[in-house]
Amino acid sequence: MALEQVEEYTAIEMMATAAARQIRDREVVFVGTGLPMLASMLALNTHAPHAVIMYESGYIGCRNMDTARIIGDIRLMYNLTQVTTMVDVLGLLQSGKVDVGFLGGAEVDQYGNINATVIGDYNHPKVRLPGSGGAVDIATNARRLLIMVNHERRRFPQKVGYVTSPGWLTGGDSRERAGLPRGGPNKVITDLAVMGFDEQTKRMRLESVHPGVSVNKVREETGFELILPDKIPSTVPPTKEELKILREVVDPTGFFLVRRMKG
Amino acid sequence: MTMKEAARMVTDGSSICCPSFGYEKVAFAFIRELIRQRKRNLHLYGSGMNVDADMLIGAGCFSKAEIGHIGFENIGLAPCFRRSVESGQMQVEDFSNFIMTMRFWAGMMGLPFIALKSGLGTNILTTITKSKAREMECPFTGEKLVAYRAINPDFTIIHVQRVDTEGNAHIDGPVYDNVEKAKSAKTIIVTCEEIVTPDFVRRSPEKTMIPGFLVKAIVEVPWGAHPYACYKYYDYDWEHIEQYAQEAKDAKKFEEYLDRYVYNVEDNWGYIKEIGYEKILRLRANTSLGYSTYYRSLVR
Repeated sequence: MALEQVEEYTAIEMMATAAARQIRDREVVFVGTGLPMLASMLALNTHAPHAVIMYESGYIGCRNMDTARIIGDIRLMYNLTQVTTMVDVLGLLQSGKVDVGFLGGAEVDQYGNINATVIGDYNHPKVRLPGSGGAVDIATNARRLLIMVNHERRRFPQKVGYVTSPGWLTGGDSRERAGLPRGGPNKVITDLAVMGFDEQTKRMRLESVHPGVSVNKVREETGFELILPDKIPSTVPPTKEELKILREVVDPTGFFLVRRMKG
Repeated sequence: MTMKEAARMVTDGSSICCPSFGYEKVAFAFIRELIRQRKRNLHLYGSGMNVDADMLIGAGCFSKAEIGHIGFENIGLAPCFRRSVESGQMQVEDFSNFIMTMRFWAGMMGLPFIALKSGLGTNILTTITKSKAREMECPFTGEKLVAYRAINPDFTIIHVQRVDTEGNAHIDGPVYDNVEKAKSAKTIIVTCEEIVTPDFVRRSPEKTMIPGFLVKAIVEVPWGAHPYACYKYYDYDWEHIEQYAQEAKDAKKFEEYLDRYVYNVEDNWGYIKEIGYEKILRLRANTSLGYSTYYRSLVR
C-alpha cells in the first residue's frame, strides 16, 4: 500500500476503526485477545485518551510503546498505571467496576451468545477451540459488551452449539432471569458491518454497512434473519488520522494489520 | 535439588499445575523434564494456558484436564490439545480463567468451595459434573450463583526470577494467579533464574510472593522459561513458538520436535544449545524496558 494513497484501507482497518469508535473517553475497558487489542489501542490513541485499558493478566491503564501480541505480553508492563493479580482485576469486573467488555469469538448467534469452546458435540467435538479464558467473566460482568468477529456465515449460526460467553441467551428478559448481574452484548463489529440488538427481543439488528458492502452481502454471510431497519447508513470510513495512528503508532510492525489472523 | 530429582517427585497419576499466562515465567524446563521422564495419567489444573499445556498433552502426560483456556491466542489453536480432545484421548472440563483462579483461591484459603456469577446462562452448568459446579441461591439475598469446588493440586511448579536458599521466592512484574495456584498446592516446587542469598531477599521483602516455609524444592535453571519470557531477564522467543505451532499440527513432526528439543537433550543446557546461543542473546531484556527490542526489527 503506497503511503500517498492513505484513503485506501483494508477490511481489518475498517473493522478496527469502527470498533474503536464504540469506546468513549474515560471508560474502563476490559480487553480480550485478538482484534479488540488493536481497536482499544486505536481508541486510546485517538478520541479516548483517558480510557482505562485493562487485561485479565493484571494490567491496568495500558499505554505500551511496543505492540502487545498477546494479553499477557510483558510489553504491557511499560508505561503502566498498575500491575496487579488476576483475582484483583477479575474481581473489579465481577463487582461492576468495568464499563466495557471487548471480545472476539469463533461463533456468535442472533442473541450475541459466543462460542469459543467446541464445534460439534462437547465430549466428541469436531473442532476443539481454546475455551473461555476470561471471556465468560467479561461477558457476564461488564456493563456493556462489544464483540469483534469476521463476518462469515459459519461464524453466525442461528444458535451456537455451546454457549461459552452469555449474551442475551434466548432473548427478551432471559439474561436477567438467568441471574446474570448486568450488561449484555451492545454491538457486534465485523469486517462487513456494525450491528446492535433490538431493545425488546434482543435479536441482532443491522446498524450500518461498511463502504462498498451491500446489505445483501451481509445477509448472505449471516446464518440467521437479521433485523433490517428502513434506513441502513454506510459506516464512516477510517480518517487519514486514524489510519496513520493505526499503522504508525498502534501496530507499526504490522502484527495484526498485515499478518492475517488465523484460527 | 537437580531438575531430574525435582521432576521425580511428581509420580504418575498426580494432579499438577504449572502456572502460565502470557507466554511468561512458566517452569518450561521442568515441563520438558516431565516429558523426558515420560509421566503418565497426570491430571492438569490450569487457567489460561498455551504451548506449555499443549506440549505436555501431546507428549501423552495427561489423561484429564480442568481448564480455563488452551490456545495460542493470536497464533491459532493448540494442535495437540485439539488432537487429543477430538480423538477422545483426554477428558477435559471447561471453566473460565476467573473460575479456575477462584477455585485455586478457595483451595489456598482452606475453603471447600467458592460462589461466583460466572457460569450462569452458559454451558458450564450443563457439561460439568455436579461434584464440581452447581447452581445455588445466596443464603442471604436469594440471588443466583454458581458454586465451584475448591482445587488443591498435588503439585504446583512455578518459575520465578530468584529464590533464596530458604525458598523465599521473589517475583518481578506480573504475578497473574501464581500465588493462588502455589499456595493451594500440597507441594510447591520453585524453579528460578538464580538462587540468591537470604539477605538479598530481605532487602526487598515486598517482592516475596511465596514464603520459603511452603516450598519443598528449589531448582536453579537459567533460561528455564524459554520459549517464554521472564520479565527483566529475557523476552519470549516468538519464532520458536510459531515453529512449535506449525510443527505440532502434524503428529509426526511433533514427535520430531520432541526428539530434537526434549528427548535427545540431557537437560536445559542441551536445550539452550539446540536453540542457539545467538538467539538466546538476542532475547535478553533491555534494562529500561524489561523485554527485548529484537522484535522491533520485524517490519511489515
